[in-house]
Amino acid sequence: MKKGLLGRLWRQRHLQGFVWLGLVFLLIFHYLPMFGILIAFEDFKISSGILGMFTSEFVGLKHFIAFFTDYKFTELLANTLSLSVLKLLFSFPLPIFLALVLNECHVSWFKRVAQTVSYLPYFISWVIVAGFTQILLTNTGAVNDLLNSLLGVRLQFLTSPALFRPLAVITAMWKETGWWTIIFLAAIAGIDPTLYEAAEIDGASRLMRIWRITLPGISPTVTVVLILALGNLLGGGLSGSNFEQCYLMGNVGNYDASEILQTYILNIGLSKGRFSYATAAGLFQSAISVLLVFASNLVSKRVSGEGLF
Amino acid sequence: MKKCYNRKAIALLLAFALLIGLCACSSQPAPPAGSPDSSTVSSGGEAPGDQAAEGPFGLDPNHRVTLSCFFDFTWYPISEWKGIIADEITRLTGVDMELTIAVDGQQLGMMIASGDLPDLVSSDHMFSNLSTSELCYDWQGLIDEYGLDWEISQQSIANSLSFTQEEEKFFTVLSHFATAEDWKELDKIGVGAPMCSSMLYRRDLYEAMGSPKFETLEDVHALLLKAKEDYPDMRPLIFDPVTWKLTYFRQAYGLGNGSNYFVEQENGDWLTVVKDPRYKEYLAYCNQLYRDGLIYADNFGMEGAAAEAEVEGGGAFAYIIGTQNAITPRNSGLKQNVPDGVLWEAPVVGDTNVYDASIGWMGTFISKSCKDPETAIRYMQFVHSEEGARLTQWGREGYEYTLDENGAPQFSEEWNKAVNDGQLDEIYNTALYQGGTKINEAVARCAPIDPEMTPNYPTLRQHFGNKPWVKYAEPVEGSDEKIILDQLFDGQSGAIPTGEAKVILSDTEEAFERNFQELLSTCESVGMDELEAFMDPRIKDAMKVYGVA
Repeated sequence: MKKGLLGRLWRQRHLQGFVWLGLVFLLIFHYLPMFGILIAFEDFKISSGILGMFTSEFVGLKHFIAFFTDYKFTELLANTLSLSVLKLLFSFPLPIFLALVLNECHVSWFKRVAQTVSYLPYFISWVIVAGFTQILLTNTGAVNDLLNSLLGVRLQFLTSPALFRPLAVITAMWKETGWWTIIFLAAIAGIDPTLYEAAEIDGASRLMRIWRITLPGISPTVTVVLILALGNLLGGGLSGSNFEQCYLMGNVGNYDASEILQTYILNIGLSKGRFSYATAAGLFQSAISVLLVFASNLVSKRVSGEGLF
Repeated sequence: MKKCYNRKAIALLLAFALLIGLCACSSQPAPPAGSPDSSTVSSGGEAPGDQAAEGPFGLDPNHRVTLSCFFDFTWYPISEWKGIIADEITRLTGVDMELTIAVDGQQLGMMIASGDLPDLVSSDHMFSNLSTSELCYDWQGLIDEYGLDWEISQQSIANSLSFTQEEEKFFTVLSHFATAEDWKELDKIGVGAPMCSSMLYRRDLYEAMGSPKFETLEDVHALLLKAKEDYPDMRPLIFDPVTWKLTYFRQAYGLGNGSNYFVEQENGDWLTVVKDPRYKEYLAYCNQLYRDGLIYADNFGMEGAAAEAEVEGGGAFAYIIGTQNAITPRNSGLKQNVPDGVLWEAPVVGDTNVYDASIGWMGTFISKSCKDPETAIRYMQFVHSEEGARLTQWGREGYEYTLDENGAPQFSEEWNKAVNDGQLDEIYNTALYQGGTKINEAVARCAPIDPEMTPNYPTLRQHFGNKPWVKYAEPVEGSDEKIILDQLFDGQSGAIPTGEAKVILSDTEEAFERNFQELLSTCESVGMDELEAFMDPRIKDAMKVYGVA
């Protein structure tokens, strides 16, 4: 019988197989491409090929300065942040609330139906959602016809910058809430039922049980999900859907609100072959995300003692 | 006994399959009535199906060469080398192709980066990246090396030199280039019109409204107001939100189409289009249409297909789109929903000097990895010749078309049916655009259209101008000026297209003025003046290249 580390690894070889496969995947698709960051500091031309990233002229922070001084930078940052914060504020608490409600519902068929209905939209692609949104919300669409017959008004849902953010937040909530509810329901299922029995014997009301047992019981999960959502804040938080929504539902009418860092990187960076510039802009966004993960982890540890690492 | 039945059943099935196969083989359209017999067919003198004895431009029809070709167009209507025209090209030249169609706009960039190019690359962008001896053959070099008798026009060479990386070497000849003189020449045969913006309108409803005067911009406004009043459930005007937008009116103000970023002034200087006083007038006109409820804001957020569906469903009175290939399919679609409905193209209103700034469209490059550069360059000579251009766009003379006394093609019934059924590419494959001019394409698209429905075409032929020197003078990829140009004019998020929409969608006159000033100041902050100072002398120099200054 082999002993020591090698022996342990051999005994766990089947499980280790899964781990190493995952690590290889991470290495190939997440770490190796990070060499590409180099081109943010170079005048990279696509015609110089992949190896060009090691041979192109070094230009320091030129592309970062170009990005920060871009006439749209402030607007892009404001649009990205406002959309992301709004989505986090509205879409983060909703699955927790729905999970609590479903957990308290004891009519099992209704619970099952509600759960299924709420998480089905998660499986619909954003392309389809955007398509339906356009059909329903056009000037002559069903929603405007209804508004017109009830209130005598028609709203420019698709082209008004003022209505873009509510539209994006509501569609993100509709699409993602059910899915994240499952995570929180799973966390609730892990709470020791004897705690509820003891609370009931002690005369705790339903709201008190939620407040004193359920919410503290799922707080580690809430913390982890919140930190992950904050890490992806600029991408759209829980749903990570900022790009899809802005790309598919954005148009010249609502660009004042719908143009965000990611769509700009695609339109002005990648589509125009400005790879170095696009990489610099992308790196800036990633740096903010990393900062947010560390900051939220730190705050969470200080406030609740819970953290991701 | 059971075995015997099985054999009979199999024999019957085989016979049925053979019959189906024979029927399928004979589904190729027959020659039109009155067309010449096979001995008089111009393309080599053989009937289709027989191998040509001798190929054009030194190509050997008996020597089959399969060239790999990348078409850098995600929308491309064909994915295989098939169809009557492709078969005929192979019969005449011995060339066929293994096609790869782009899956996204970045694919060519990646191919260049990896150095993995097929024999031919056909694209409408990245011309500069491909115009280098590191990647592709220069055409004059190949012409000299293989002793081709091919004198390419100086204008076409000038077009290609505008984006080359190596002085005096050109690596492609762009297809679909035509001069103002070419269009005027076309007037002799009386068919076709340049590709520019046009407005389709419901002729049936127009007549029901009493056929009001339709000659000026004011008439258009009045007509749309009346359409709104008479048909309140319809959109008075809808526009293609992706390509053409409100260009019909932009043209009417003498500003050309959307690719005219710089406009010549009376003193000969070139101004960025937003600074031209007519630009503000054009925006004011469109804003008035919006404020009068004649165009809807949601049109700016639509997909092109949604606008088409609205028109075909009978939901719009007028529709801004392009000339040539829009009217036929929209009429077919409308007929299915509104049997009495019919769309006509509106007359040219306002300033009739409609113009473009085009140096051509598709560039085909012969890569350094091409297995047979001689065949490739000879093939390019063929598709750029009148014979090749006609074959790729009109099909076979005597079968798909015959020429009338004016030299205009009269297409076969099968061809016209395929146009109306939207099956032209599937059956004939007219998408082999590697050569040919805009003229061949325009004639093919317009010949099946009833001229009564396109009264604007003669005017457009006479008053259409091309100013390729504007495009020629544009800054090269990667330069600071090109970055400014993109930031100003990029169709997706450029300062001008986005600002323009905001100005048009202003709710009041004050908001219009405010938004217009904001557009100007945004353009200035992007670097409009710097770009203009760069472009003005370059355009003037380019005009000398084209011999117009």
